Amino acid sequence: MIRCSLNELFHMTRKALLGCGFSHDVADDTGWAMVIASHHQPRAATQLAAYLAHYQAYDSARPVPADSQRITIDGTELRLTAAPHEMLVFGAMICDWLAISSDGGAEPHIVILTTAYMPSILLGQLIWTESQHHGQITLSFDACQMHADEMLIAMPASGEQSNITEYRIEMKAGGQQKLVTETGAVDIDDTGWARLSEFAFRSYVPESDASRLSGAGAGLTDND
Amino acid sequence: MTITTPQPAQQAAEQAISIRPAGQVMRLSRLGSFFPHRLSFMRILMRRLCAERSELRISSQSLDKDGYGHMVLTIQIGGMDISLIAYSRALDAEDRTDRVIATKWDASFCLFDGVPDQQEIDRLAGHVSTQEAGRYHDRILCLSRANKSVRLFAHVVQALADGRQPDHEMLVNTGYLMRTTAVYGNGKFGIADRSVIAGHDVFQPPFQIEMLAVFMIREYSVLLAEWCATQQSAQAVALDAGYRRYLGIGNSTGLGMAPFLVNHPCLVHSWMIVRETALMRCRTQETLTDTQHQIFADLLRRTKIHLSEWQVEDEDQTRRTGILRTEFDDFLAGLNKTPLAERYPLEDAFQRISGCSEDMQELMVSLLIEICADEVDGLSHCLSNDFEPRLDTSMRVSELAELVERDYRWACDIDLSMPEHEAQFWYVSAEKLEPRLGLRFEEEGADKEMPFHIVRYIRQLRADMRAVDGDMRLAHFMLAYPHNRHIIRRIQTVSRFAYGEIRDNLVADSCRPIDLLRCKLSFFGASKFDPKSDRWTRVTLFQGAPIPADIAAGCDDDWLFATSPPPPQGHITEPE
Repeated sequence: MIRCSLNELFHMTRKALLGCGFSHDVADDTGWAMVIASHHQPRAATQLAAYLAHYQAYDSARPVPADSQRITIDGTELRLTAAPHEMLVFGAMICDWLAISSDGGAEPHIVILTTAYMPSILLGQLIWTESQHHGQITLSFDACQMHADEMLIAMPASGEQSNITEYRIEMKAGGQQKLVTETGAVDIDDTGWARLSEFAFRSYVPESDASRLSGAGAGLTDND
Repeated sequence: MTITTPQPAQQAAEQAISIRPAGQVMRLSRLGSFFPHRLSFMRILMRRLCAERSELRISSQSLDKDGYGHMVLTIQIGGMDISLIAYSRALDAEDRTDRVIATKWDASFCLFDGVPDQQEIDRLAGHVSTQEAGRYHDRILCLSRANKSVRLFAHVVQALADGRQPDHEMLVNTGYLMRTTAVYGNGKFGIADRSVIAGHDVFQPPFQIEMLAVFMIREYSVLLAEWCATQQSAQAVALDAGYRRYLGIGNSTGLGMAPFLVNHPCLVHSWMIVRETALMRCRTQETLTDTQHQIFADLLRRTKIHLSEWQVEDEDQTRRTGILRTEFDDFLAGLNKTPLAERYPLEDAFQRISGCSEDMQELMVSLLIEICADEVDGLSHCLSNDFEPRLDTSMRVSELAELVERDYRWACDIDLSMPEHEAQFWYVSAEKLEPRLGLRFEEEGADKEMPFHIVRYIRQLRADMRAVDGDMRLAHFMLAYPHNRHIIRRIQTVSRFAYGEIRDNLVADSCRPIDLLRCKLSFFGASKFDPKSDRWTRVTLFQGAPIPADIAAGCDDDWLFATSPPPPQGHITEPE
């Protein structure tokens, strides 16, 4: 196991997302979501690494066209049908839609999400959103109703889920702001950390001869 | 260069004194003209140490005759014991490089919460000596490493061993015994997050842990030299206190530091608004006490010497410093002819140099802030900002468009059909794992650029906004145009934190990264910037700062624009 600081976890997650082709905004959100998710679900980072590894053959980072049949708007209701590999991109849409009602005093906005897979990182995104907007998010499904953090805690360590489920997600005002940079650290298994590092490395640019020569410090004499 | 005619006091008083707007302050050229000031992080730390009369002691030491081994220095601050664990070892000349790719150093350090026992010292040795390759726990607050200035270190050791002080010119010209090549904080490699320690009042202002580490490394460098001298000779003497005070810690700073100012808009806003608020408070001082007048006069004399001692090889900096010296002399001559106005004297001073170079204007900011301690020192607790940018998705497109027009007009006016306006791109190097700047049309990697091409994002956003109803909420807009989400969050953040955005094109061929470096280093408290190109600079940290003996005596924090000390009395530079 590797013990990471939360700031280190944030940046590693963020860079891993960038390395997988996600946009900077999704990478930022996912970094914060991971800090939150790891507090509730110690295997969240490992699950994300496995998720990214599993779906790397898919175009997970590609935005879903808004005119798709899988994204529809009916008044204040946003209906989404998401494939498992799209959950991070859809996560941003869900959070943005829910946040409308908390910020502008608008009537409650809800999301109906049909998906076969609810990754822990999406729940982290939801908790991060409710924290930022002082709200409280609930997910209703299969005659159950749970807060996002409860669901995250209840999630199996493997992260595996089987049933296709429709979730009704809504945010009510009045939640307490959670500290997302709480004191602490998190243990991540070596495989998960190595995978995230590998993805992060893809966000870097190889040096060329030209860049080496023009780099800061080039030509420095160090033995003065 | 223009020195304006002194204004009559009444005219100055009637003039509305307001804070300088972000559009004026947040320009690259101005940021690249900043000087250290009273609210710089080193200064805040030193005031705290002096107020507490903190004592620094050697709590553990195991060095051989060459100074290799470990030394632990412990200081009390804020009711805590904080220790610097320093490991030193022999290093071949070919292994001595200040670049971040180095894997060996003359000395490596960690700052430890508490006083480490021998087991901890032994356990950390294998990690700290390898720096990035090690793993750490959250009692480690900071990591660093340093290389000796080989010639000066050897000379100082030899001189002290011979019972004499080092050569004055050699010591003053170099100014440090060691150069740090990196200082890592805030959770890197498993060390403590800032949040772990930010709850302590003493570490609430930014970078206090990192500054404390460098301060203790400075003391270590002198103690190490003195130790080596005593191992060579029973007649060895201690380093003169004036020299000890003048010696700082060298540092080479490159592009790695530059993106910080772009990536932390909320924090940068706080730094800037605090500095500007301090300036405004000074300018609105109706009168000065006799003591303040005296402080100002003393400071001007010291600054003149400091400027004359600021000698670098860089042609552009030399040219600028030459202009600055002339403008400063003109300002002094003006004061001799016409003293400052009795009412609003500092506004008078500030107006006199309003037509001068940005270097002179920003130098004056540092000088004015220095003499109004009571008015500005309390602002040090406003320098932090833990707010994280967030999206207001209920905002209407039309409202966002208004923000763009208000805060990003500068970007709208840049014509991207001209290649020079996007000639560069920022990226993270796979080799160095550090930010770098590449040429967009000549080098690979622009597809992985850091999100600093603000101009392009703004132009794309404006085009997309024109395609929708202005009444649309942003959550809806971003479903159709998700690529704008990042810049929308930034625009909304800057609408609250106006000084968080640099109002210049960071990817233009004219962008000089060194301006970003100098801005950040000035907030650290570094001076005598010594640019080696437009993308890295050498500086000296803590030069002229109080030494532990001064601090224990509760000295004043009075070392802005330090000057070289006189040779000690009875100074002998050559062996008898």
